[in-house]
Amino acid sequence: MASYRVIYEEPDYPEQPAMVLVPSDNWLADAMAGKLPPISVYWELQDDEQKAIDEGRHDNFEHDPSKWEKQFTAPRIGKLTEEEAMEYLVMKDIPRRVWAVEYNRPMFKIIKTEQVPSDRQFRGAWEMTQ
Amino acid sequence: MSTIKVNNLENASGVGRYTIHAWVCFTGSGTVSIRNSENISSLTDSGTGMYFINYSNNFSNTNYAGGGAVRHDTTSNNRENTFVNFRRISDSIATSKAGLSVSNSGSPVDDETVTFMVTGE
Repeated sequence: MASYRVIYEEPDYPEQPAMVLVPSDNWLADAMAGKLPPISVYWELQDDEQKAIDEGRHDNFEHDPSKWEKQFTAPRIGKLTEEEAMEYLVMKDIPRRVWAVEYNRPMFKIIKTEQVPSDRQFRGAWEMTQ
Repeated sequence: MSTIKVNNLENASGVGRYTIHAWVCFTGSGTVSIRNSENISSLTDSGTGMYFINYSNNFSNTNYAGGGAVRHDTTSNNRENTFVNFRRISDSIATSKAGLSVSNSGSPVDDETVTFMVTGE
């Protein structure tokens, strides 16, 4: 079972509770076996899709096949440690505005799984401690 | 183990066979965790009954379908009127992720078991 979670807040949606990213064990196993493409493959797809959203043409959006196929055809990046895989996952599955922009406080933290509260009371009001 | 790579899958009569793009079974109460999945890189717990599933490999387009089922807890049967649905709002559906909401009679709830699968191209 994954040792880590990522807790983060959405700077564009400050009224939302803190989010908790839970990695898939199967994905982690692939990452640690060296089966992932460069992260730039996903960023290129995200950029194209974000442009479609910004231009109001996200309904019926379709990726450029040559870019989409890179997920499967790009050279693999090699084996990652679990910690490196978590950093990769942050850059893949968490919006770039969370981790690539400097704010006056951290917007995300990689934490141990046991640090996540198991009592979900007031889940709609969770905040990230500084 | 060997890997079969094909673009189209048909039975002997020429009838097309279609595969699931991704699926996940996760614990949605207590400490949220993924029990089993395929083509899911992570799950984002974004509040009571609110989640995102993030795909390992993106869909090629946004016109895909999905559905799921939930179980409220281990001591009672499935609660009637409890559903897991796509959140068809804003950018909750993308080629890389989908927003899910679990609700009972319209109110968001955390359920003990949540399953969801998606298919498309």
